[in-house]
Formats: sequence, C-alpha cells, structure tokens
Amino acid sequence: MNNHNNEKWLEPLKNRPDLEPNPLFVRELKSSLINKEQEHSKKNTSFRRFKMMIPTTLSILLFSILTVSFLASNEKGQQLNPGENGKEPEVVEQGPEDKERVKQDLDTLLAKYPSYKSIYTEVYGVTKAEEASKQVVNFFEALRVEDKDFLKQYGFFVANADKEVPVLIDFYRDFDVETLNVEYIVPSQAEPSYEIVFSYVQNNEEKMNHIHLNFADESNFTIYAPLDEFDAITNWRNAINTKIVEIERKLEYGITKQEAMDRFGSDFQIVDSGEEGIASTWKYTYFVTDSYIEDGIVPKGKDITEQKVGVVLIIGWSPDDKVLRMDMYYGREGRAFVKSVDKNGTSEDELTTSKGSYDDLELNDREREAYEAFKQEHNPEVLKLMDPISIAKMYVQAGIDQDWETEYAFYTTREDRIMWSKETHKEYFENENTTAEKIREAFSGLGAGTFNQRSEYEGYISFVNKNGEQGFQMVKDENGVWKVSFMPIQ
Amino acid sequence: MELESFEIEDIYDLYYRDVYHFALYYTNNRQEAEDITQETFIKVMKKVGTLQNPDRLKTWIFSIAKHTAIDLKRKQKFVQFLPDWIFEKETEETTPEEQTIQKEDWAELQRALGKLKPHYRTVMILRGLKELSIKETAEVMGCNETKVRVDYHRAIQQMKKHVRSYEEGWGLKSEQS
Repeated sequence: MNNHNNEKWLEPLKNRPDLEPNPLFVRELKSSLINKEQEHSKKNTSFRRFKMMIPTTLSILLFSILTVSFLASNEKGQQLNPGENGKEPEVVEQGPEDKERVKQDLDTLLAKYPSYKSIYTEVYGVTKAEEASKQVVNFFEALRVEDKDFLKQYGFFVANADKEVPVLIDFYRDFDVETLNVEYIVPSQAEPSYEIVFSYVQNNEEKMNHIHLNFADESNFTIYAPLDEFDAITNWRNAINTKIVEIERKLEYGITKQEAMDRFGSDFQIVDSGEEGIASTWKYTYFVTDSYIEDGIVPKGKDITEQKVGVVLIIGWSPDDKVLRMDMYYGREGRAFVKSVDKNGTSEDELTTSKGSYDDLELNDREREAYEAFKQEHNPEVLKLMDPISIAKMYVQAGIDQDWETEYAFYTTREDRIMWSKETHKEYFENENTTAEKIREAFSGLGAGTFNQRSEYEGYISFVNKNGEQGFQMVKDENGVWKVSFMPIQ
Repeated sequence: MELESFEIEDIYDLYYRDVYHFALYYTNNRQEAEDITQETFIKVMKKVGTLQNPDRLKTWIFSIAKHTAIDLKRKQKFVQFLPDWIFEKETEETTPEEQTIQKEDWAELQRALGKLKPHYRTVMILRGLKELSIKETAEVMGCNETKVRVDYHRAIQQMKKHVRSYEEGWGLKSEQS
C-alpha cells in the first residue's frame, strides 16, 4: 500500500535534525527491557523449576564428591612426578578476571563506569559515529585491563606496534577510569579526524592528555594516543586559533540561513541585537570556560584576551533571510579584535581590553588560591598545574605586595640560571624605591600575553604595553614547574 | 513486516524508531521523547500477551505511544493545554524577529505542529509525517476512516495557518488544496 501523501511542504519536518534517537539510549532501553522480561519470565517458571531442583541438586552433589576425591588422589601423584604422562599440566590463568581482555559488552561497561558513558555521549555527539564512539570507550578500557590485542587492532602506532603498545600501557598504568572526563573535542579541518582532549587522575595526580580519532572512511578508523608531554594550555589556545581560522574562511555577506547552518552548525542562540535594519540575530559561542560570565550579546575584550571564551560569532539577518553582517570576536597575541563582514567588505577593529587599568594583572580565583598557598612555604608543588602566564602574574603580584622572598621564590631554581641569591635580592629591593604602581606599569599587558615555548624548558610571554612589544622569559625547573627567568625582561 | 511471535527484543528493534519519532514530533523535546519511548515499550512488554491480532501490532504500539505522550503532556498542563485563544493571540503578536525565526523550515513547521490540539497533532504526525495509511491512522486513533480524512484535512489547514510566512512565497500557498 502506498502511504505517501502529497504534502511536500512537510518534507523539511520529515527530515528535521536530531530525528534519530541517541544510540546509547536505544541500547540501554533495549537491555533494560530484556532484563525486565527475563525477570518476568523467571517468576513464571520458578515453580516448574523447583520440581526439577531436588534430583538435579542431588546429582550435582554426587558428581562433586566423586570429582573431588578423584582429583585429591591424583594431586599427590602429580606433585611427585610432574609431567609424568608426557603432557604439560594445563595452565590456568590466575589473574583477575577483568584483566587482559576488553569486555565487548558495551552496555555493561557504560553502566559500570559513568565516565565511560559520558565519553561515549560526548564523542558520539560530535562525530555521530556510533562504532567509533564505542571503540573510544573500549580503547580506554583496553588501557585499563591492558588488552594488548585490542590496542594493536584499533590503535595507530608510528613504527612498531609490538614495542609501542607496552609503552602506551605503561604510560596510562593505574590511571583512574572513573575520573576520565572529555574536556573538549576538536574536529580537524584538514582530514577526517578528531582530537579528543580529556582529563584523568593517575596516582593521585590530575592530568590532561589527548587522543586522535582518525577516520580512513566512515567505518574504518584508528585511535592515536601520542605520548608527548601534553601542554593543556597551549592545546586550548591552539584549538581556539584553529577555530578562528576556520570561521574566518567562512565569513560571507549575503548568504542564506541554510548556508550559514551548513557552515557553522545549528548550535546557535537567537538573540535580540536591537540594531536597526536587522530582522534577527544569531550568536555562536565557541570554547567557553567555566569562569566565563556572559554579559550582553557582545563579549568583553578582556574575556577574549584571557581566553575565558574563545570565539564569538554574531550574524545579523535581513528581513529576507540573507546575511547583513557577520562579526567574529576573537583574540590574537593577547589582544581582542572584531572582524566584520558586511556589504562594504571586511573590516577589523581592536576591542578595548581595559580602560587604562591593569585588569590583566589581576589574579583570578585559581591563581589567587595557588599564590596564597605558595606564599606559605614556597612549595613549588602548588604551582604544578599552573601555566606560565599565571606564574608570571603571581611573580608580579609578589612584587606589588613587596613580598621579596616570595618574588625570589618565583625565579627558576635551575643552577645554571641562578644569577643572585635570595639575600641579595631582598637587600636590593628593600632599599630600592619600587612602588606597586611602577611594577604594574612595567608589566601591564603581561596577563593578556601569549606564551611561546622555544625549547623543552624555555619560553617567553609576548605582550604589548605602552613600552611597545615585550618579551618575558620563563624557564621550566627540573620538577616540571614553570618559573620566571632572572631578569625576565631583557 | 509482522512477527510470528511477540518477543520484546524483536518488537523493539522493529518499532523503536517509529515510537521515538512520534514522541519527538509530539513534544519537540529529546528528553521527553526518550521518556515516552521508554514508557511505551514497558507498556508494550507488559501487555503484548493481550494482543490478539498480530497484524495490528504496529497500530497498537502507535496507540500506546499516543496515549503515553498525551498523558505526559497532560501532567505539564499549564503550558501545554492553554486554551486555543491564547495560541491565536500569541500568533497575532508575533514579533518581526520571531517571524523571521519561524522561517527556519523544519523549526517553523515543528512550532506550527506544536500549536495544534493534541488530536490534530497526532493525526498530522501519523498520517502526514509517519505516513501511516488512512486505515492505520484510524486504528490508532480509534475512529473511522472518514473522520481521519476530515481531521487530517483540518490539521493541514490549521498547521498552514500557523506557518505565518506561507503567503510570502514560501511555497505553501500553491500547495493548498
């Protein structure tokens, strides 16, 4: 029977986005129904089973007695004459049951570890690839149970999987799967690939790392887990920069709503810009941190330079649904800009980040907490998770507070880099007429700067203030903590 | 396709998408659509033994989904069951910005669908979107085929009325029957 109706105008609704249910939900509901049904049928058959139970139990009991006595008599003989029959005794694995192999039942895994469920949902949400999302979960599970075969099958290895798999396993050994959390996922524009950035706890230490999900085609993919030292801050910045480049290429005057959705997705807010001639306004926001407080349609320059928010794209529509203007708010080298495309072409303006104040030097909550802790005993451990710019800001703060011992403690402890002693430092500054205002003036813009790593343990923060372009040298100590170089501004 | 026996696993595999689609169209809310789907299949599992005619499995499941969706929305009575005149007023007072938003093809149609009364909305989903036959729709709705024809026609008219932009060359006018 042909049920098709002729209502073609309904087609967009028939093909609406997100029409298909989340596969995770589908699977969970299915297994829950099957379980419920089994419980139901168990109840119905329990009486029938009971009638069979007595003879069956007796048979099992009898068989067990005979087997145990047979084995006991054999054991003695085997202890005296191992391999007497010319056969090696069968080796039985004694390891924990869940070691060595990834259990293929995804539902059980997802039910057991909420962190896996969240990974699955996040990865599926971005990739829409069910099998790949499943195998990303299994990849983590393979690391947990040390399933070498699985890792070889799904992992990408640079040269020799046999050698690289044990290194990979060792790298993630004893990581706590329950603390796994996907921070963000960056699709690569160049090839069908996704970088999944995640955090986890390993031996009581909070860590971040990344894997790449690379697709050869829709059903063939590999998972690459680079083992280089992952720099979360740089990665976040790079991800934002990639997004900026991607959006910049797609800005265009006069395109339709459908074209805009094809380019930027459907994850936008509808806002009221109140601008004359603009019929409606869409707002896309990318890379938002927890500390970002949205205030108004247009982001503040300061929130952009501090990367509390990565990129904001605002599209104004004409009454006939064509782009009247596109404004992309973004940061570059510690400064905030808005790039606009309209009928007059493309233009760019710098946003004010602070009105003559030194907002960028103000410590945020996390930095303040670390700074206060560091002040107590100058224990570098509390700085371990801080990025170089935060450490530089704390160094400046110690100067503003005229806490010369703490200021000195922010200098690198690498022996070949030490230029003077703590005593000399203290003596010098106590006699020097340095004011908080002078310090702020000298370092203004530092907090909004960009860190550039030059080698494994060296880098500098480039920033701009009224003295022009500046560089602030940083050195990573042997314990992995970034510190300030003696005479940081050369 | 019909099943020889009523195994919940098979029934589920065959119809979970239909039920979810129905629920999503009905509520335009993924969470509610999942709740309705879950509730529907739990009811199906418990009551499938009472179904005498396997040929009616599909329409029987749709009718359970329909009742479940209506029940769920009834629980949220404040927003969902406002009298029609409020909807009319709301439509009249649509701002120019909202009118533009409404032109988001599927989104506008979905919004218009949501404005239909539950009965018309159900007929529209079953017949117009899920493309059930008149006979099947009548089975789900528990009424005769003539009533389905009339109600479907009215549902179309009302939905088109709610789609404010059709007079602006959006392509609906020419398709009005």
